[in-house]
Amino acid sequence: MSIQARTLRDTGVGRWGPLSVAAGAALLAIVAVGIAAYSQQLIHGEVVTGLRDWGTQGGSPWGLYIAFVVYFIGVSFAGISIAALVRLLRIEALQPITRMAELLTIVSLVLGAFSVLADLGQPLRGITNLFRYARPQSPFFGTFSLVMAGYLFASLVYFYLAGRRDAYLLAQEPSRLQWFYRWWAAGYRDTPAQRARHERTSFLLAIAILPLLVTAHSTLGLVFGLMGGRPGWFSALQAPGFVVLAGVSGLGHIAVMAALVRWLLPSTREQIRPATFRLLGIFLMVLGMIYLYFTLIEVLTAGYAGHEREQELVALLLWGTYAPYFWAGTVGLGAAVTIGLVQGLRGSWNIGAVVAMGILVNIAAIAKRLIIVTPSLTHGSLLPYGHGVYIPTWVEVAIIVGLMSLGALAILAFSKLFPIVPLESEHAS
Amino acid sequence: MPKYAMTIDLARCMGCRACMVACKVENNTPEEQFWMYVFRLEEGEFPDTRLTFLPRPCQHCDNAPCVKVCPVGARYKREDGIVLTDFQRCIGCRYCEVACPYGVNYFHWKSPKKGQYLNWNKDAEVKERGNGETPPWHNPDHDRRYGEERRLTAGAVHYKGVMGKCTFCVHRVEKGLEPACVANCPVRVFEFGDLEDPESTVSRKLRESNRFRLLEDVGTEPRVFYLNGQPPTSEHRQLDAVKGGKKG
Amino acid sequence: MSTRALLAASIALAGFILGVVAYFVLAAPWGFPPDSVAHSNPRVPFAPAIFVAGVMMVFIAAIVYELWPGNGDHT
Repeated sequence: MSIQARTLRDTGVGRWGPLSVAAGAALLAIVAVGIAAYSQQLIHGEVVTGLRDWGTQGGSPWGLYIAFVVYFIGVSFAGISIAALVRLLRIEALQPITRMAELLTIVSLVLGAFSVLADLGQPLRGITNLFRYARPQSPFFGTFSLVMAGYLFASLVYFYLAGRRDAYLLAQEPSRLQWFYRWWAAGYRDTPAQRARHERTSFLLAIAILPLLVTAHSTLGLVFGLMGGRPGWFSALQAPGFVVLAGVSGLGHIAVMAALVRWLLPSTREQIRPATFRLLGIFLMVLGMIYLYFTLIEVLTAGYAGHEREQELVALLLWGTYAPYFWAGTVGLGAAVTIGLVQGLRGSWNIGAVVAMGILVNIAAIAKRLIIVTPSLTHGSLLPYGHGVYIPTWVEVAIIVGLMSLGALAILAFSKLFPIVPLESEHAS
Repeated sequence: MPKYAMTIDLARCMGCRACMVACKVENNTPEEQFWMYVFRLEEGEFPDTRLTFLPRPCQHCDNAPCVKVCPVGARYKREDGIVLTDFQRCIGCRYCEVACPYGVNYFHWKSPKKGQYLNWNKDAEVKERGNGETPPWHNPDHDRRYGEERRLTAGAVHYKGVMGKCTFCVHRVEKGLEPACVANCPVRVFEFGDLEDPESTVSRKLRESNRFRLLEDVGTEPRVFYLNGQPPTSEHRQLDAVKGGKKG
Repeated sequence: MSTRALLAASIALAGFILGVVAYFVLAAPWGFPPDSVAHSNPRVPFAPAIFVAGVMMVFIAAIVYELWPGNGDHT
């Protein structure tokens, strides 16, 4: 067996073992339930959700869908930041996980787009009318154009160009997908000139995508932060908070993904080393601390001198209706940071510990997204309406879980078509 | 170009809610949608309680947050000041609803033909007389397009998945009539007219009375002025607040 | 500068300029508060699509730069 074929086999490409098939089938089944739920919504309208008008109807018009729009777009932070860290700061230990990070970015941005569509009352119109009439004066414009069209496209370009080398290597051997690899490689022959060109392009792309990244997450935060009449939302910290929590959830996802890949594909253990997890753990810990600091400042500011409604909302978060979510989020982040500190002080980073951090920060991020969206709508009214209640229905949960399964399925399918970890270190001669 | 505004005389309002009914009949709003709403507020502790009533239409703000945030320009402000929703352009994102501090927006969570107050198809005679339509009589004015911009903006029964709110009865104003709430109030709480005309009733009332606007410090610059009363405070409680959590 | 570099740089620059023009000039007019119908319509139909195209062009330039056939492609 040639070296190439052996390497290919080790990456899991083309190998659908019983575990993969079972996982794929289960994910597909969940996606099917999600599709069934969405069709109910299309037929009957969003009355099948737990969403209702705030004010006289006592509900919350934004809920799970919007919370997960923010969450999915937040997770997408990971890909390009890791790619940028590798390119701009030359952090070699992160290089083997760049491809799965970029893939996560692309998949989660698509999931974010689908979450927006799931929330729209007129989704098809949403697509056509946004391209036709979208107004830059609306904070949504940034979400639509910069995040979906700009950031997603840029990540696809980066992903495509970064994969050409492996595509070229894979195309050497006859296989069922050889045509696909040849198409992807598009004339790449790994010559010194081409390699140099790719270095330059990746560097410039990383620099170009970073401002796009910050702008994209900031506009998402501004969707909430610019609402002057919404106690609990109107805050200068929304946009920066979104950027930081995006980093936290994205890197947490990558840690879990990298550990999974390392466990399922033993050949990657030489490339995905403990040093990789050490770096992920450190970044997670630092970003987690920054977000906890933001949380503290927001609660302090609103509690000390916020007007009446804001003070009520803080009370709701700390020991009222929404306290379970607030504390799940805060304690989750705190626990992750503590694990990180312990690892750091010990001087060695256990992969399992970093995975635990990754899981904790994502649960925390989901809880935080939920309490960003809903409390201000149910309890943040400036006029003397009664307060509202929001309980998501099976339709909303099924659609969100279906979307997550769709993402997992996409990543699984991709890993069977193309190596999820680059074949050889890009700097090996 | 007229500059439409509304005055609401709180000294006259007795909380009968005829305006809410008139609005509902005029615009065919489904259940749980109150483009015009009247707060019945109580303050103080028994036996020293006081009741006040506060009608709340859309405020048609000059610096409307809903207009600023609409991603596709479906929510817009006309030159004469009326803020309207283009039902054909609305994508149902509900951003206007979360941006509005007054809570005047009502989303069609289901088809507006469902959620009517009566089951129009149950009575055979009604069904036959109304040609099976729901509701049996559809105001043709709701389907006309108004203003230079010629957009579909009047009435409630159009599509599910879009946003609706008080239109100052644009389909009536365009014909020179008053909005339904103004015309039907038994004690003439409302006045509607042109601020540019110093002799119009609204202009005169604004000169004569002390007035306030709701949530002035949020900076929305509403076109609805409340006369002879006080703004609601956190001491006020609704007599009949909705308990949230009902399913539609 | 080689053809590929020149071409890529031009596409990137053109895309950026197109994006800026679409954002500030072609889309709905900037004016606060939004007090007339004009603020709800783009000046040019499909201006947002033009903006998105401009942003995409900046990144397509990267593909052009790497894929343009030229020297150094064959060992």
